[in-house]
Amino acid sequence: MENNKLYDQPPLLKIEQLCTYFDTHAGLVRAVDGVDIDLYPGECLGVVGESGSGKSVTFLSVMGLIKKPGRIASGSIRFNGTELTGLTPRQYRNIRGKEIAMTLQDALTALNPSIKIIDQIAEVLREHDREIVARGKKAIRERAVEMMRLVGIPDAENRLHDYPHQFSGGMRQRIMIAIALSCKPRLLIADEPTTALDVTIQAQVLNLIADIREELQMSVIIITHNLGVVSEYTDRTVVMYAGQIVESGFTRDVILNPQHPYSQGLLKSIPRLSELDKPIHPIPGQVVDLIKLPSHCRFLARCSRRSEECRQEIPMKIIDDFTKVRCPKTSNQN
Amino acid sequence: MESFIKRLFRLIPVLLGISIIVFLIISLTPGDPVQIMLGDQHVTPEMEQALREDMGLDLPIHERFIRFLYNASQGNFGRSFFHRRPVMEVILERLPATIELTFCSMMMAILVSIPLGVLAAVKKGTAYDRSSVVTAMVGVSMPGFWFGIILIIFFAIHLQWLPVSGRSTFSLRVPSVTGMLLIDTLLAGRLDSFLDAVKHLILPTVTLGMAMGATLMQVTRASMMEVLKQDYILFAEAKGLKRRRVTFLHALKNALIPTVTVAAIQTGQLLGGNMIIETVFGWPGVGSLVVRAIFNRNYPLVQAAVLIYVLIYVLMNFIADILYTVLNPRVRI
Repeated sequence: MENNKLYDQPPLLKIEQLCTYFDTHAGLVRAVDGVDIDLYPGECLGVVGESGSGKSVTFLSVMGLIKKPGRIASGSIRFNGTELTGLTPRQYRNIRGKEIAMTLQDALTALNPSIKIIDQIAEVLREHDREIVARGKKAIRERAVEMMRLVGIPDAENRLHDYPHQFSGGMRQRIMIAIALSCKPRLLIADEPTTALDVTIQAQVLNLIADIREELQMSVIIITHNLGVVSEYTDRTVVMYAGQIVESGFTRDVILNPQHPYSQGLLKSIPRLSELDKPIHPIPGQVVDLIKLPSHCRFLARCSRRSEECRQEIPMKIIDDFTKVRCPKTSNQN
Repeated sequence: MESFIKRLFRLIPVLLGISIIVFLIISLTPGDPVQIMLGDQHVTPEMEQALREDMGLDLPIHERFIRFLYNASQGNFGRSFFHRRPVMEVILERLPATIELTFCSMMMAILVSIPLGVLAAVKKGTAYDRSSVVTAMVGVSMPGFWFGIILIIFFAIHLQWLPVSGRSTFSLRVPSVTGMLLIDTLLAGRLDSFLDAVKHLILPTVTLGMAMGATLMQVTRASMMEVLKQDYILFAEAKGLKRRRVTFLHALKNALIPTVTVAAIQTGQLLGGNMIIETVFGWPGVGSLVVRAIFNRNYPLVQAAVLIYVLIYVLMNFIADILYTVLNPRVRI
C-alpha cells in the first residue's frame, strides 16, 4: 500500500473489545459491543455506519464523555500507550482538548451562543497551554487570530469579539475546528463534519481538515454516514453495524470491493449520476433493537445472502493484517 | 439603542390605556362616589359639595378625563380625604418601606435559589434534587399570609427572637433621609438602630423571599437541565475545561436568561402587590396603605396607587426585556 510507512509505528490509539452500555428503563442498550480499532500516527480513519450503529458512542467513550445512564462496561482504550479507561476526571482533562480534540456535527449548537469567539478559543489555551498563558493575554489573542487564519476566517482579528450567530454555517464549522485544534492535538475526532453543511461547503471543510492534518502531523478520525466523504479523504475505513464492526480495511478496498453484505448495501444505496435511470437500492428493513440483540448475525434479517450458517455467533474473519470482515460468506459478488 | 427607544415608545399606549381604566374606576362606580366615599360620616351639604368640586365631579366626563390626565402627568392625583394631604405625598412617603422589603426579599431569593437550582439540575435525579423539587413545590404553593403567621407565632411570639410587626422600635428611630431604614440608620451612625431594622426585616423578607425563591429555583433548575443537554456543553467538556467552568460559565450564562426575566417580573409584582404580607407584618409600605384606603373608600389614593403600581410593573417588564437582550446576544440588534 502507498502509505505503508504509516503502519510501521505502534498505533496511536488502540481500542480493544470496547463495550459501552446504557442502563435504561426498557433494558440494557448495548450501543457499542466489542469494538476493536487501531489508529496509526498520521493516519486518517473513516468510521461509517447508520444512526444507532455505535460510531459516535465509540468515540465519546474515547473522549471519556459517556454520561449516565451510559458506562464503559469493559474493554480497553489506549492512547499513546496510556490506558484511558479509569483515568480520574482531572487526568482526563489533560487529554481532552490537548491530546485528543473532537468536533461535533453542527457548529451552530456546538458553539456557546452567548460567549464571544475569542473567549471560546482562549479558554482552551488557558486550560492546556501553560507556555502561552505565561506569555500573557496578547500571546493568547495572537494564537486565536493565528488559528482563525489557519482555518480560513477572513478578517480574523476584527471578528474575535463576534458571537457564533454572526458567522455563516461554513464559517462556524471552521471556527469549531479552530477551537478544537488550538492546542495542536495529536488526534482529531470529527463527528459528522459535513452533515450540517451545504454540499458546496462540505468539500471546503473536508479539504481544510486534510490540509491541517498535513500541517499539524495529526491523526484524524472522521465519523460519517456518507461513504463519499470516506472514499476521498481517508486511508482506512471501518464499517459499523449495531454496535459491532462488520468490516474494516483500506478505504480503496472497502469502497471498490466491499466484502460484507451491509457495506455492499451501503454502496448500492448511493445514487450515482452515471446511473440516473436506474433505481437506487435501499437496504430493506430496520436496524436491530439494541436491547434485544440476537445471538446470530445482527444483519441477518436484512441480508439478501443469509443462510443456515448465519444463525450462529459470527466471529471476525481476518483476511490480512488490515482487512477483517464479520461474515462467513466473504466471496466477492460484484 | 434604536430598539431601546422604540420599546420605550411602545410603553406610551399601555400607560394611556391604564390611565383610562383608572379614571373609570371612579366614573363608572355605581352610585355617587362622593356619597360612597363619605359613607356614614355626618357631613354638611356644603362639605359634600366641596369634596365633589375638589374631585372635579361637577364637570362633564370628557372634561374630567382631560383634567385627570393633565393632573396625573403632573403627579397630582388630588387630596386624600383622610390624610388631608395630597395622595401622592402620602404614597411617596410609604414607597421606600415597600422598596426596601422588596429589594431584600429579591436578594434573598436570588442568592439562595440560583445556586440551589443549579445544584439540583447538576445532580438531577438524586435524593437532593428530588427533595429540592418538593421543597420548591411547597414554597410555591404555600399561601404567604399563612407562612408569615406561622413565622410570627414561632419566632416572634414563642421564641421571642424577632419583633412581631412594624419596621422599627420607636425609641430607636432615626431621622429619615432616603426612607430606607437600612441606609438611614447607617447614615445616622446608629448601629443599634440598624440591627433593629434588620430584625424587623427578617420575617417579612423570609416570607416574601420564600415564594419568590421557590419559583426562581424551579425556573433555574428547569432551564439549567435544558441547557446541560445542549451540544455546546458536550463541546465545552470535549475541550477539557474544568467542570466548574462548564457549569457556571457555559451552562449558567445561558440558563440565567429565563431566570432573570422571571425575577424582574416578580419584582414588579412584588412592588405592586404585597398588600397581604405588608398587612400581616404591619409593614408601613404602600401595600398596607392601599388596603386601608380601599376599606376607607379613599378613591383618589387607590387611583394613584393603581397607576403607580402599573407604572412600576411596566417598568420592570421593560427592564426584564433589556436584561434579556443583554444576556442573550442573539436577540441584540
